[in-house]
Amino acid sequence: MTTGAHAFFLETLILYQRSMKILTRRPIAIYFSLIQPVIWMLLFGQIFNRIASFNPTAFGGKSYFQFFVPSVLLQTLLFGAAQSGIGIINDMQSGFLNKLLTTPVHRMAILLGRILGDLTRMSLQGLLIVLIAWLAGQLQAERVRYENGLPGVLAALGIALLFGLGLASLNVFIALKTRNTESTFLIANFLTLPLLFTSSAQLPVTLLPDWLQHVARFNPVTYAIDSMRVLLNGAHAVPDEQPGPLILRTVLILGLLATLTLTLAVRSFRRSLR
Amino acid sequence: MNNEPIIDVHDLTKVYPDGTQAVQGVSFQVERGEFFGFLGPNGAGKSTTIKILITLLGRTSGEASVFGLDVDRHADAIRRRIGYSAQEIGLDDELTGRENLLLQGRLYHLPTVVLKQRVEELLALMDLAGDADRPAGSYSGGMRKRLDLATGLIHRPELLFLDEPTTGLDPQNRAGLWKHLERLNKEEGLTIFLTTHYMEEADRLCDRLAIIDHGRIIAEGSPASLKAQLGGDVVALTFKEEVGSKERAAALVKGLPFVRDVTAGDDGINVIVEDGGAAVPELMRVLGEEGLRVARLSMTTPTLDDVFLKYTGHSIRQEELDRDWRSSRGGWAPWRRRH
Repeated sequence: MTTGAHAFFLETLILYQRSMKILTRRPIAIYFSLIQPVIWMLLFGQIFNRIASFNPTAFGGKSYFQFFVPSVLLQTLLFGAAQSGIGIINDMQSGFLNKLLTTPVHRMAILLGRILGDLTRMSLQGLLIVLIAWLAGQLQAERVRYENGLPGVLAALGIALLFGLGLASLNVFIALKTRNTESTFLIANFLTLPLLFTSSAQLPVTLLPDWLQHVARFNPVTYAIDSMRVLLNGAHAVPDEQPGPLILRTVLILGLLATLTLTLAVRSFRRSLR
Repeated sequence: MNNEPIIDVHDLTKVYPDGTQAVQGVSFQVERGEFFGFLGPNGAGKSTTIKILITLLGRTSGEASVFGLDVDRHADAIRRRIGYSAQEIGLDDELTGRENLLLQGRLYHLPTVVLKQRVEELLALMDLAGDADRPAGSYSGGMRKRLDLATGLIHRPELLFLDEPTTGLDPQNRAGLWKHLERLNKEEGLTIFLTTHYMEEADRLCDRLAIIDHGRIIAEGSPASLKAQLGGDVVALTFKEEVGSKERAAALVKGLPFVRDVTAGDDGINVIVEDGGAAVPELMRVLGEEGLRVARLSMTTPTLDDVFLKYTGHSIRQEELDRDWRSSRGGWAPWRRRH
């Protein structure tokens, strides 16, 4: 007889496998989710190509294209997070969720299985972006070089996923409140673009207008992207920050955010069950 | 222990946060092995009651127990032993039929060997063996319904809850599903609780049923006994002169010794009599003497709709039409939870 924690992990695994099956059955959804970020990457990489040469220190001595890679990675995950909430609404509308709830499955296994599935999808999207950026870099004058190798890439992905967890949870929360795919998608988009444009995604914080610098320093996206830059592009990628403390601060901030939004998601999920 | 009712509900009420009183003091019991039904129009409180019993919805007040266990305090123990299939089909369309069954079975922690065998058994039983490896999304309506029913049976429940199981099915698939349900109840001894707004469904399947309207049970008994309360036959009459004929005729035949009851029909009156064959000539004679000219006469044995009509003053069909009209004005909002 399976009991307690064992049953919970087993049920989470069963529902996680369901998410994975759907993912592998529809790989086209992943490819499509990459099209827009890749276009951004190629376009912005070209448009701002010369900027980095005016002030090489601010860009960590890298091409603008490579400077921009972490932004594209995070952007892909930001948009990807919207799908987490939509998945839950679909299960509610189809009656599948009710069917699950009539089984003795642990209620939180339903939520956890889905979020773990979404995180796996995001990792895959992130890895593909890093790979595409590297491949695209080979065609350019200045090649893309990840200074810390695979460990650096994985650590950067970890940062991105921590952010992804926070956003996916936030999205689940919004979805449970609105119960409507259109609203969930709108709110997600409404949040994503301003967050990106008021961060260090396009330019280093030091090159932003003064007022925007203040905003950017409060924007968690800035921390995530700067940390990823340090991890991917080397210790000097963000000249006004020490790599160690920067990453530590980022993990704390993103961890706090994820805890907060996950708590909100869990609470609203519990509430929706009764 | 086994003499205890399998479902015991006493004075159950449910008030939704928006103030809707969906269930207003419902009491009933279901015995082990019974095929029990809730018959009533949409919005009568059927689905709310079923959702409380399958532990998906909290109640406002009253007692509700399944297997002698309180639905709130022993929700998990109840969930292990019940099956559920509803009008809103609970399948994952991306997964194949077999995968849907496996997923559901694994959530009950069935041992793999047992589960695999059970899945094949159910696929064969529901005539889905040939399509088991196609995504459920590609199934026809009848196939989806059968697969959904199978997922509710995967763990061999003692009690099966069916919420409007045949709504949206064509007559052929409906009849097919009825056969499956009858077999499960009669041959495997599965206790079934069904809600429906189809009278012929309740009539054909249920050993015993409760007629529910506006959150209250208004009549309870076997379909035969409910219909017998009305008497033998229903003679429906319409008249050539429309103005005043109905009222005059009703007053006239009410006093006749063989007439049990008179109710308003669609265009005329329904006269409930013990023996239709003997009553018709007599009715025609009495009406003719008073100069009431009958345009059309038909004789039927009473249906459950006549029973519903007797207790509520309106027919289920009429209620359905009214509600459809109202809900179409309110806008269709599938993401809102159905109650």
